[in-house]
Amino acid sequence: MIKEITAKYDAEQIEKKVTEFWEDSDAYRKTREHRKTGKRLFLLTDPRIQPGISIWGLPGTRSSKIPFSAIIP
Amino acid sequence: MNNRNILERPGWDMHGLPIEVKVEGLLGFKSKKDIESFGVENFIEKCKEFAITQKQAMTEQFQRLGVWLQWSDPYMTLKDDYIEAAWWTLKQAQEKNLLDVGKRSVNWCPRCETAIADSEVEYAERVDPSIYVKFKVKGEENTFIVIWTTTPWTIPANVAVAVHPDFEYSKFRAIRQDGSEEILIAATDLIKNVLKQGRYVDYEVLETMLGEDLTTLEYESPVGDLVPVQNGIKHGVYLADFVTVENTGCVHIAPGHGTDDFNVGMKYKLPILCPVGPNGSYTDEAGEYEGKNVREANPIVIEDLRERNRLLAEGTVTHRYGHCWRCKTPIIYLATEQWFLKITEIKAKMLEEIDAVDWYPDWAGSARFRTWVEGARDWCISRQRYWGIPIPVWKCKKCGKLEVIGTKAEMLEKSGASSDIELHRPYVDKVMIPCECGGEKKRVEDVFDVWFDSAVASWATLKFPQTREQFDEWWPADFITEGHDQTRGWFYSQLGASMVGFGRAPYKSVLMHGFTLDAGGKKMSKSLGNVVSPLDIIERFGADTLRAYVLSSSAPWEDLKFNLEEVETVHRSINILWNVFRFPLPYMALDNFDPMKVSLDSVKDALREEDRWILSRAQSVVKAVNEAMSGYLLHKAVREILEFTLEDLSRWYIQLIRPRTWTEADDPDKLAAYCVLYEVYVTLTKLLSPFMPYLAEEMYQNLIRNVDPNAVDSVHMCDWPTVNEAYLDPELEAAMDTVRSIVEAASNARQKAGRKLRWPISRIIVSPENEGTAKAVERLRSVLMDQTNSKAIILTGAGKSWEELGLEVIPDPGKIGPVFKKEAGKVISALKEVDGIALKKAFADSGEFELPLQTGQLLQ
Ligand SMILES: [Zn+2]
Ligand SMILES: [Zn+2]
Repeated sequence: MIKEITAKYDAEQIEKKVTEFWEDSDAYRKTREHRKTGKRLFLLTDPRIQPGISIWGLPGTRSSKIPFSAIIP
Repeated sequence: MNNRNILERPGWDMHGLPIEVKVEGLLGFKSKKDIESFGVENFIEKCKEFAITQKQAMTEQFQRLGVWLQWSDPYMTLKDDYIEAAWWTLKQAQEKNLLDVGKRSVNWCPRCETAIADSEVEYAERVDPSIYVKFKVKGEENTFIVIWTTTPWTIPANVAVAVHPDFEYSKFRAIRQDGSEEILIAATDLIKNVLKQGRYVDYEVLETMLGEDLTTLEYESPVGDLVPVQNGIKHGVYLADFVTVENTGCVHIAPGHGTDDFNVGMKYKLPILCPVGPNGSYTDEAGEYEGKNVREANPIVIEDLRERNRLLAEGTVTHRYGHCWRCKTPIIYLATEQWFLKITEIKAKMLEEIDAVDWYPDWAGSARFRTWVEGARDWCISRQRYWGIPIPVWKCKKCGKLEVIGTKAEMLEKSGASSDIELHRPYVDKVMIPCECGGEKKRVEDVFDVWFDSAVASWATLKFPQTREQFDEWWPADFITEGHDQTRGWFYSQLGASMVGFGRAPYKSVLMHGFTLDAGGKKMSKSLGNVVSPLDIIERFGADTLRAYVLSSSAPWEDLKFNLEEVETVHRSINILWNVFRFPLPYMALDNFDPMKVSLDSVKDALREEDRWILSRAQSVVKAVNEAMSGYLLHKAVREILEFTLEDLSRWYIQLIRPRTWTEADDPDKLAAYCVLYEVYVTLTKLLSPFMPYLAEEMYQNLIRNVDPNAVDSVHMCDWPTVNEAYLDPELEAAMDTVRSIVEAASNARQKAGRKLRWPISRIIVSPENEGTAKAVERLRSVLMDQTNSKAIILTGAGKSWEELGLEVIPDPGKIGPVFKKEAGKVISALKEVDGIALKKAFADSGEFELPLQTGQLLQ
C-alpha cells in the first residue's frame, strides 16, 4: 500500500536509501537486461581522468556527465 | 526508457603529460633527469598507480551524482586492447600515406621537454624584451639591415632576413645628436619608427627599392665571433608574403625556432640551425652560449649585441604568448624530428564530414568547429615522454628502414617477445625486430600525444581491432557530448583519427556544452579560490538539486554562472515538489486507496472539469518535455516539469481538491480526485527520472511498487511516457487560464476593498471580451465560485457591459482639441465630472449631449 512520507524533504536520506536499493536490487544491470532487445544506441563518453580535478570536469568546465546521464534514458 | 539497448561504457584517460606532471610534483621532480635517475620503470608504475586511484575517486563522485554508466566495465586507455586500437590506427595512416616523420618546427615545453600540439598551447599575457638589431651588410661600408625581435635568444640561430617582395624599402642615412651616422635599410613606411627607436635626430633617403630587389644582399651574423657555426653560414635576404608593415619590415629568420621561419628555411633550402636542446639550454653548436638556458640568455645576448654596436634599440613588450597547458612554462619553438598525421591532406574530406554530423547547437559545427578544422595544420602526434601509448614504429639501426606495427600479435610474431609483455615503456623499448638487411630494428622512443589516445575511443571501447563483432554492431557512435574547449580537442582528434582509420566521422551527433564559471562569470581556478566543489553542493542540497540546477539554469551549450541563490531556489522548488507528492498520501493511506482496484476509468463519471484539466496539463507537459529533449533543450524540459509542479499542482489543483479529500471513504468525488492525482503523479515520476533520479526512484517505489508487486523494479526500467491524446483538451486548458486570471482579478478587487477571502461575496460580474471567455466561465463556473468565494457569477454578453456598473468617461484631448479649440481644457475637465451612463445613453438616443461647463457656459 501507498505509505505516508516524512514532512521534510531529506535529500541525503533519500539518496542513501535509493543508492542502497539500486545496489541491492542490481537495478542497473536489470535495466540493461530489460532493454537488451531494444534498438541499439551507442553513446560514447569522454575519457575523463585528469589529476586533481572535480566532477565539473576540467577546472571550470561543466561536467559532461550531468547532461549525459540526463540524456541516456 | 525509450526501449534502447544502450552502450554506455565510461572511459578513463589514464595516460599522458597531465598525469606525468602531477606525479613529478608528488615525487618532487624538476626535470626529465630526475625521472631517468628514478628509473622509467618505477616512474610509469607510479603514474599507473596514480591513474587507477584517480579513476576510483572519480567513479565514486559520478555515482554520487546519480550517473548510470557501465561502471563495472569501463574502457581504460592503459589496457592492451585500447593500446592496440591506437597502434592499428597508426598503421592505417602509414598504409594510406598519411603518416609523416621529419624535422618540423613544433611548440616545445622546455620543462616537460616534449613537443606539444597547437591545441595544448595556452595563451597568456607576458612581458618580453623588444629589441631592434642591426645586421651588417657585407661589402658595403657602415650599412645595416634592421630587424626587430622579442626573442633575443634566437639571434645566435639567425640564418636569414625575410622581406615582402612588393613593399618599398629604403636605404637611408641616419644621423645622431652627436653627428655620428650610419646607413640603414628598412621599409620606407617604417623609417620614422626606426629613427625614433634608435633616437636618431635626422635622416636622408639615399635610395629606394622593392623588397624583391634586396635579395642580392648578404650580411654578417652579429654574434659570429661567439658562435663559430655562424661563420660558415651564408646569410641572405629572402622573400616572404607573411611580412607586414610593422617595426622595420625586415624579419629575422631562425628556421630552428619558428613555423614561418622554418617554412622559409625549407623553401630556400637554408640550414635549419637549432642550437637549443630539449631542456631549453643551448647546445655546443651555440659556441660561447653553450649550457645557458635560453630565457636567461636574453639579457646576455642583448649585452653582446650592444658591445658589438649591433643593438639599435632595447625595450619591452607585453603580448599574448603561448604556455604549456600542463606546467604553464612559456613555450619555445624548436625544429625537431617528430611524427605527424597529414591532416592537411584530408582536410577537405574532414570539412565534408562536419556537415554529415548533427551538431547541437548547429553553430558548434557549422561555425566554431569548421573554423578550427579549416585552420588546422598537420598533427604532431609524438611526445618525448614516458607514460603514454608507445608509438609502434621500429627503426633499423643499420639501414634506417621503418616498420609500423599494428597489433600486439604482430609485434610478438615479428620479434619473438614473450606474450606477457606490457605494452608500455620501458618494456616495449627492449623489443627488437630483425631487419631484412641483417640488422635490428629498435622502437623509436616517442609516445603518442595523449589526444591520440582519446581520438581512437570510439573503436577502442569496442575492442577493435582485437575483435570485429562489437564494432560491426555498434560503430559509429550515435552521440557524444563535451565542453566547447573540445572543438580543438576531442571533437577534432576523433574526427582526424577516424578519417585516417575509416574515412568517415566516428560520431553521428554532438552536443557541445558550456563551462561552469563562478557567479561573476570567471573561470573557476584553484589560484583564484573561486572553485565550487560539486560534492559540497551535494552535501548541502543533494545530488538531485545539483542536477536540476545545472540542467535548468541555461541551455546546455551556454556557460553556467554558478549561483548559490539559484541553487537554493531550485532546492525550494524540489521541496514544493516533495510537498505536492506528500499531500494526498496520508488520506490515501487512511482510506486504503488501492489504484490497482480503483482505476481512473471506473470513476470517469465522477470526474470534474478541474480533474480533466490537470490530466490534460500533464499530457501537455509530456509533450513539451519530449519536444525540448528532441533538441537537447534540457533546461526547457526541467523548467517545464518544475513549473507544472509549482503552478498547476501546488498552487492550483491541490487547492481545488483539498475539500474533496475530507469526505467519507467511498465518496466517488474523492476517489476521482485520488485517481487523477495518482495518474498525474505516475507520469510525473517518470518525467523526473532522468533529471532527479533519486527522488523519482523514491516516488516510484512508494507509488507503484508498493501497490503493484508485478511492476518493474526501478523507475529507470519504465517506459518513457508518451502523450495520451485522449486526455488532451487545449480548450479546457485555455479556459482554466482565463478563470485563473479572473480569480486573480477578484482577489485584487477584494484587496482594494479590504474584504478577506473568507467573507463570501454575493456575486461576481464578468463581462467577457469574447465568446471564448464566456464559455470558459460557463464551463468552470463552480471552480470560479469556489476560488473567489462568491455566491453567484453573473455573465454579461460578450463585448457588452453590465448596466448597473458605473461608466467612467475618459476624454480624448486629441479629438476634443481640434473641435473645441481654446475651450478644450474646460471641456475635458467638465467631461470628467459627467455621469458616464447618462452620456452614453444621450449619444445613443439623440446623438448629442449638453455639457455644463464650470464657467456656467453650455456647450453642445
Ligand atoms: Zn610543460
Ligand atoms: Zn635494416
